Amino acid sequence: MTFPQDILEIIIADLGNDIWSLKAFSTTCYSWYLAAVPCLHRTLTIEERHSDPARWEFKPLEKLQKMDLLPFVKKLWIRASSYDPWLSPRKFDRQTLRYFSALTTVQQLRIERFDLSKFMPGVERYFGHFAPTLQSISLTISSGTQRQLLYFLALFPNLDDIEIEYYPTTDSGAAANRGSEVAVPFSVPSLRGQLKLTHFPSETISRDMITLFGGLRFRYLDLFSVEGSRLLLGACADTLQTVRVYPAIPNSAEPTPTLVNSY
Amino acid sequence: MVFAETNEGFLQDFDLSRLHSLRSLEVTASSVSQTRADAPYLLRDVFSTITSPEFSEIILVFQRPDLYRPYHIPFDAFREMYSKRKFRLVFCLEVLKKYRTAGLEVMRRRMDSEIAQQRLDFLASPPTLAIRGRNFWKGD
Repeated sequence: MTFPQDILEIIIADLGNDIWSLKAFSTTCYSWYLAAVPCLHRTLTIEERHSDPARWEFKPLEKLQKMDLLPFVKKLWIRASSYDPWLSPRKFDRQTLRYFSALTTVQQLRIERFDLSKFMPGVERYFGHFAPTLQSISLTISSGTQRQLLYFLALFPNLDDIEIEYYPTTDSGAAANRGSEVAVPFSVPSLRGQLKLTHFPSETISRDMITLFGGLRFRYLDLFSVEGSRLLLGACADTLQTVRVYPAIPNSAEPTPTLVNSY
Repeated sequence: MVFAETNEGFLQDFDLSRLHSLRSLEVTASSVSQTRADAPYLLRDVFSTITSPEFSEIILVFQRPDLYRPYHIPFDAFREMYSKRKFRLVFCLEVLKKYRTAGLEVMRRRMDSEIAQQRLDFLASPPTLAIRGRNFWKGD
């Protein structure tokens, strides 16, 4: 006797992101396995080092590719294990790039310690395949020039949410002010969701974002230690529904480049 | 200048009078309770710039460290704001999923304590509790 599909879906929804319970659920029978697979593989974490060497760097991709599971990945989290950015084009050999390019359904992308300058020019070769589906991007303790950041964001026409925590730009003073050298964006991201910036010390980049992307349409704004808050608020004046303010500076006025996803 | 270092600068940055569709104002428990004695007044002054006809709620956000610190939430400032314009107060727990059950219990106790001490008696209806992920990395 087959278990009703709608009941299975209720059980899976209830299990949510509880991977261990989902794994146990999936071992019951083949039809239950099929029902659980999309949830089990919704999030893929790639990290430089892991307690299990089989999960170092891009190794999980190969396994998922062989089992034809890459199309289920909706959330991709590229984690850092150390202070130095490990992700670079050199990490993508021919086969790795082929597997990585098979991730064509990713909606949310989070990268820690991402040095954009290492991928320039040609960042689209590595991340361009996310363009049709990517809706949210989160960069933590990442770096690069202002132009590189804008160029990267412009790869994704369906991008609604942007979260950037600590982005020390590497522009020289003169380069930061070169308005005439703005690269033509690949596309204009929709930007209708959330903008969350933390320790973002550049008004120029906000100004360029507004210019290049034809204004901003965010509905939610969370700005902590951001130059150009006034500008961003004004640019979203017609669409903003929620604003988060920080009337006092919690703990420290100095930017602290630590990963904050642990709480 | 990274932060709006003066009250005037902060208020200029967060002049909300231009936001015609604004529905909610969020503030973290830590930023309104700590460090600067004038934080509640800054919040009050930012609140006073709101002109949106759709505005209806203030969301007081508690992150994980906030749950275990004995903050004094300056509800006198909220009372003053409420006298100018009515709003719904939401206590929002913003933590990773694994901390939600324990966090919710702490939040509930804290809210009940504030109600028992009549710090929230200015509200027409009791505050509501909400839970969400720490960021838009949805589900976490």
